[in-house]
Amino acid sequence: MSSVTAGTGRLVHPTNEAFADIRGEIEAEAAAHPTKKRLGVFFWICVSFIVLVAALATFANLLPLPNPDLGNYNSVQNGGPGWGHLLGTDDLYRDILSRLIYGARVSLVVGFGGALLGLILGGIPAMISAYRRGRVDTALNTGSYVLLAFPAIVAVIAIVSFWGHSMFKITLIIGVFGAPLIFRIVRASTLSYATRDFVLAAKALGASDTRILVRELLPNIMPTIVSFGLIVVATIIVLEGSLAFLGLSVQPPTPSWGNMLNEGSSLLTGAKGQTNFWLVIFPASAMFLLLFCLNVVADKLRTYFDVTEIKL
Amino acid sequence: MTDTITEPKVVGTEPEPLLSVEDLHVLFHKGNTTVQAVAGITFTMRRGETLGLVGESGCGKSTTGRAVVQVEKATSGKIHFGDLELTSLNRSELRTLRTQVQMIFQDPISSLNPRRKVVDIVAEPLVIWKIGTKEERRQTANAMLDRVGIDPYLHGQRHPREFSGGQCQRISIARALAMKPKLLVCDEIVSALDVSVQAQILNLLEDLKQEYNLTVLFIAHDLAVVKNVSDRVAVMYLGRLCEIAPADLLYESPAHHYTAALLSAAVEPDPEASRTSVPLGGEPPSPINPPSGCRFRTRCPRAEARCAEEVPELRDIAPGHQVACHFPIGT
Amino acid sequence: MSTTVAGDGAAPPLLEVEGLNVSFATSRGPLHAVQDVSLSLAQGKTLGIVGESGSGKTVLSRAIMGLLPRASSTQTGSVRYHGQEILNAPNDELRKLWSTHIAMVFQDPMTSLNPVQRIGHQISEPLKVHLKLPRGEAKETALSLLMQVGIPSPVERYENYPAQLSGGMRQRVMIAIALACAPRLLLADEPTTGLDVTVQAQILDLLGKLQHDRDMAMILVTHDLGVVATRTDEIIVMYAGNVVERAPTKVLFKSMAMPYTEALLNSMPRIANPSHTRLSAIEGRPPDLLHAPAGCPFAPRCPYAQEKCTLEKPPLVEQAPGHSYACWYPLTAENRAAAVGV
Repeated sequence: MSSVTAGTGRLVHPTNEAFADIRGEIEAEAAAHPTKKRLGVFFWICVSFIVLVAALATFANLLPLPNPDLGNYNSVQNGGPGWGHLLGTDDLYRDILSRLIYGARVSLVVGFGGALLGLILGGIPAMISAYRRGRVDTALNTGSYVLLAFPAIVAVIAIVSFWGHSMFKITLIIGVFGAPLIFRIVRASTLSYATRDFVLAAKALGASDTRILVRELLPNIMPTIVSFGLIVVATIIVLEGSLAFLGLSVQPPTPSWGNMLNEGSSLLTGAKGQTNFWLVIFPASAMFLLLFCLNVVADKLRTYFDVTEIKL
Repeated sequence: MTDTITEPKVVGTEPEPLLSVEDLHVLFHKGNTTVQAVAGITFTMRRGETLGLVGESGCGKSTTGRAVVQVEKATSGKIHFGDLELTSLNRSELRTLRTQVQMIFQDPISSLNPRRKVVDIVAEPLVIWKIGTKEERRQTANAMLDRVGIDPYLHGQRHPREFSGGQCQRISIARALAMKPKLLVCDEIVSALDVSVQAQILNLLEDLKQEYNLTVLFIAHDLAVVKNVSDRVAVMYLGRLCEIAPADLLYESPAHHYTAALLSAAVEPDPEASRTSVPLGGEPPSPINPPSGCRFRTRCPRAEARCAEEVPELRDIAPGHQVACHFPIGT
Repeated sequence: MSTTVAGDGAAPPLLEVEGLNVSFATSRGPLHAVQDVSLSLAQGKTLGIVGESGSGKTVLSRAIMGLLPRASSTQTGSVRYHGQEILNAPNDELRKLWSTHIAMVFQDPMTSLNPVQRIGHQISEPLKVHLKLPRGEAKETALSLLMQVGIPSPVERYENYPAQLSGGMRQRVMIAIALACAPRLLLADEPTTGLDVTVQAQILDLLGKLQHDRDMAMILVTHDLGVVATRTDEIIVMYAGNVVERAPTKVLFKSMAMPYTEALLNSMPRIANPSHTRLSAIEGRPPDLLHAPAGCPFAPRCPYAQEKCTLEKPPLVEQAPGHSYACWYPLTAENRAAAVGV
């Protein structure tokens, strides 16, 4: 087979001219299917917000913030927003802004950590199960149905109250109980690709099972995993908030958005009858905005990766 | 009508057949029922030959192809490929077989990973088997794409969704041939394509067969396509072989009644064409509960008592012409 | 409805299509799926519409039936059934015609039949709805229909679900449903594509027989020239949304005028030809309907194309009795390859 180049770096083959028409057609075809879909400005705004929150939480130590755990008795108790305390102070003279930023750590760690743990515990077996099929798959599948029937929130509450509610433990428990749902989603997604001929073709080419899972299947299900994963993160953040409301999240004085809401809601009406809105509105807004941005990013990513199939 | 007839290659210069399938059985178990997809097939293929395997849906031709490539496990029987006996290979030996036997599938779109670039798809077998350096692999992949009519420099970096069905099938062919296999199994590769695209792919396949000295097992249900492509043709019905003969001979003087029925049912674009016999009535029986003896007997105009009692074996009725029938046409 | 005498031009044709244009609104601009198509069909006759994918044949058949979504499609021109204009007619008017006068058999019986309804119910439904037959009579008629379409043990099959039947039998059920109310016009859209060749022969024979028994007109839409060769009176060849040739069947195959028709015939492998015959494939691919180039749509792939072909689109003109084609340089006896019957 000839591989003579003609100076331009192009291969010259005797029958190349016969395919001249096809070249033109492929151009037309490619032009008709623009590969770049736009994610939109809104998408990037939301991504920036998430990154901002993560950055603030990570580098909180480096920021000029008052100590979130200890109050400064020079400040006002339950003071509203003002100079020195941009978002106000709480019942124990602690700075709200500082607590908000440090509190983000809990939400982010529990949220992303729990989701990641769920993906590892649920997603990896799901991929293997969907690819291999057979008895193991049937067993795991049925098992996941059974586990899903169990009310996870009740179980989480029970175990957390029994075992303890440090950030690590909460992440672990939520991650474990999130695994069955993630298992089902990843399995369904993998199944839709595992039955296609290109997987069979890879097998026929001699690819090992690991290679097929990693090189053929994983890239195809990655968009689903990412966008679904972000939704899971959002759900876990809310779950942490609920746990905090029950007093089952990280203990004070460690701030978390959930326990800020919890404390703030009971102190909402001040001694003199004023409404200490800042105690509640800022953690609530922070949580709302983060959740909103996570959902937007997840949704836009899903649409972006929705590949249209070729026409025959 | 059309101008050139490709000179049939001189086949069978080697004394030993490249592929020899002996009494192949493939059974599928679905719950309590067992489907006999392939129920005892024997045939051989010489190096450089194209054997067409034709039959209607449910006859087991695709399963046979998959068993040969070993993506489907044979329940019993032997498959000799060169020096190897495929059913007795262990897992790693089976993997090395992959370099010599390749398969192309029916659906051009689902045969390609939508997330990968076309040139990577074609280079994949070389990567799996660690052949050559990265640069050499890229060059080989580009050359293969070029050979099948896709400019690698203009289109190699594109994804499968940017190509049409016929072009995707070309990419699949390029991928299958990257390893220069000895045997190529084509499973209904043009059935999903338009007539004009089909012709392009068949011509391409013909050229590549010559160039790479390929041995091809061509599985299809379209009689005209199979005849065009094959040196010999085998007809299957409900898991068994009915007849094998050189292509021209089979179509001109079929010996098995099922072959004759197929030929009479085929549509030719000729308004003057008249049918030579009454078309086949009834439905194919279920492969779960096939008729005893000859499986075709329930629809055969020539069936007699013997057909229900004795399974007809493939036997020679002329040089190169085998038929599995107690009362072939002409007797 | 006026009764018409079958056959020739004395009575008005059963179906008349004039200047039909169908375009769809897509995100990338209007897609002209059917461009200026005209045809007519007399009672009891069979018309074949042949084309590859993207030629517009399915859109055409749906437009004639009135099944295209109004919201996203623009249909102009005229479709007259027995003189009555049905293009863009409101749905309740069309419902009076559907099933009782015009019926359609679709391509894929698995998706065209309701998988959760028994087939007996699906056949008797049009009888009850359109002909207002009481339940007992409807069931009897349905059973007789099942027998007419050649389904063995109809009483048993009446209670079956579509998944319990083979592809060929499902297609027969579709035909039974279509013929339940004895329509005058049957539109069969790729009725045998995907079916085995022996089943295809059975289904086509069945359609022919039923058509003959009931004096029904039929439009057979397919990509397979072999299917229409012996079963149609007239053939329309479509390419890129246009009718490029129309002729009585025998005339089309013997003296085709369009290079596309010839190329299509030449690119088909033939049983009559020896093995390894080189196929003359048509280079390239059909044009993008969104950005239709000027001139003849087939020009980029036509071996006989000249400059005029790329500049001006040839109109469909009747050049011989019953034989119309759209070509500036149609095939002549000299350069026509004998594409039929070796």
